Amino acid sequence: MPVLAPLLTVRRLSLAFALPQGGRASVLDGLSLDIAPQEALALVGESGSGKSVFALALLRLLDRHAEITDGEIRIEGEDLLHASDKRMQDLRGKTLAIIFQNPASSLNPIRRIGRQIADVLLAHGERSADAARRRAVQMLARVGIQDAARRANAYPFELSGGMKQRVMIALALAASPRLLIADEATTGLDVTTQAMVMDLIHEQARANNMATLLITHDLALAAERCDRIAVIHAGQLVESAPAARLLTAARHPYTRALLTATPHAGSTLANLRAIPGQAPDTAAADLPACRYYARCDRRTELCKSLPPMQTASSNGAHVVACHHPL
Amino acid sequence: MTVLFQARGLRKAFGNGEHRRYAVDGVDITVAEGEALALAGESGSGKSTIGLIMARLLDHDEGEILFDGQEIGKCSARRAAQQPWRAQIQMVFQDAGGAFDPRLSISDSVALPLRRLSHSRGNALTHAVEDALDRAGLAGHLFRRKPHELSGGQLARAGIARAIALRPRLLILDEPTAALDVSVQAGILHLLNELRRDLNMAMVFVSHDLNVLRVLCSRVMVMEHGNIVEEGPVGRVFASPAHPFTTRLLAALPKWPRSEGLPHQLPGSALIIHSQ
Repeated sequence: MPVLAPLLTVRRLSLAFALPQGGRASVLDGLSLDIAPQEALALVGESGSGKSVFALALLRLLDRHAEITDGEIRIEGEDLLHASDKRMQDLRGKTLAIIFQNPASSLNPIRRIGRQIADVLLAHGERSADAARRRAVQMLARVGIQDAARRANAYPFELSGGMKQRVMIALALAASPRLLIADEATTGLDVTTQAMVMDLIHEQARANNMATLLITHDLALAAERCDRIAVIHAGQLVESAPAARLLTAARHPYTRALLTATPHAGSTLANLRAIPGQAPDTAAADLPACRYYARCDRRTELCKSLPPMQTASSNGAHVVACHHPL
Repeated sequence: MTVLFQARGLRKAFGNGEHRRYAVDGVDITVAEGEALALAGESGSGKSTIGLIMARLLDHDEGEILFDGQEIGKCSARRAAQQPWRAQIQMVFQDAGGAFDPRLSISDSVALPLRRLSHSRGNALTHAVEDALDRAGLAGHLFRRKPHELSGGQLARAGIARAIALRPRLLILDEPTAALDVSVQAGILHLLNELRRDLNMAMVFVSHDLNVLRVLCSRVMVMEHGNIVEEGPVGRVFASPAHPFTTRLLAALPKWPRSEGLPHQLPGSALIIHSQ
């Protein structure tokens, strides 16, 4: 496989929220990762780990209490953090697009779905309203909506959860983005619907030479659907590796603990273990350098004071940030 | 095997006129004492409706329900609250936060059903409340907190504590861990299994998550469109499903890669993944 220049490059991204009661929460801490063109990368973490904030930071959709304190984000070489608001509006949809967990609240409830897709097309350069409407129907057909011409006139409430997510995908794909971010896009759907939606995302990514960033709490889904998995804990990226390797040869104690907590086809209750403690309060003044410190069974004093370096395996594919990896 | 609970020919419809649909359409269920039974299915399959009917919180249209040999399906769900067997069948809901009165402390909430159904008062009541919360693994300093001051995992434990405080013989759990992170979920699954064993309580787990049901239950019933389409020991049904719907459900689960044959495997790092 030829080595391609990364599509997305994130370096040392740190982000803080100003808290209403004063003080700041350090939500992302020195996060670095790349996504190659056409690559499917999963960012896996538990609730509160910062994975959704990361997605919103890529799109610069964070609210005014969030401040990027350090680092850079580049897509196709372009500096996203210094792009103008006008430029960001162009990039959203055309270069980066996102689908969220809850399609019901992401779709406009009082606008027909065909019109919503046409709106995106019109915002991204289509001039004729008729042509936009015709292409919206084609988009709906492409994401597997049966009888698309008629369904284009439906309101979101007339569609099932799986169909609404298909509409969201059609909306996200409307302007042919280079990177599709799926933020827990199938969470809450039935497994059979989840499999269909994931198949659709995969097909569309392949057909359009699009990279995907799958943000999920589900390691099994990440492993099945992505080339590579990055694991985030309390705003710090702890490990990234090719998917199968991460599941079978995890090196970070947190990744290992997460795997041991995840039930799957080979699990028994006896080999399933909870992770003790909880992620630290990122607003605390005395956060340890490695935020997994308090929960870790391999911790030493070093982990408290010195941030672990990201070390890569010989071929660079497996990266772990830990003083005492497995 | 001693039969604890038996339902025959259960039917329940929702809606009126041409919109009338059977959510549960002729279902037979038997639960043995101390058994862990899984009720699996997708959204809209009728599994939660069955859970509510079994707990006698929802009236059914047709069918008979026997608990410990006694017919309990004749009285309405409304009057079920006054029946002597009410304490013996309890339910745990998915949204533990929404199932607690936000104005009451956790221990006051756990005390309510005890006061009403077992008529305990004073020290005996305090003791029973604390015992239930202890058994559920909730730390003592959290007992007096309000629901909004607890995490999702702590609330799940509180919900379980309230249900077991009455020492029920049958516990129905509807997606008890669906909203929890896996790191927290694993602890709740262990807790439920221990409680079932220690208190000899039968449990019916209603869930769409086959991997959770697999580790927790010995028998599974698979539901589709209000019907049980397959039933049997968990190991057998999951290894070789007979009904096309069960096959489809299992095939849709994300695959977990096997550890064999992968390059650069580190010694000792993969054994946690596979049990055999």
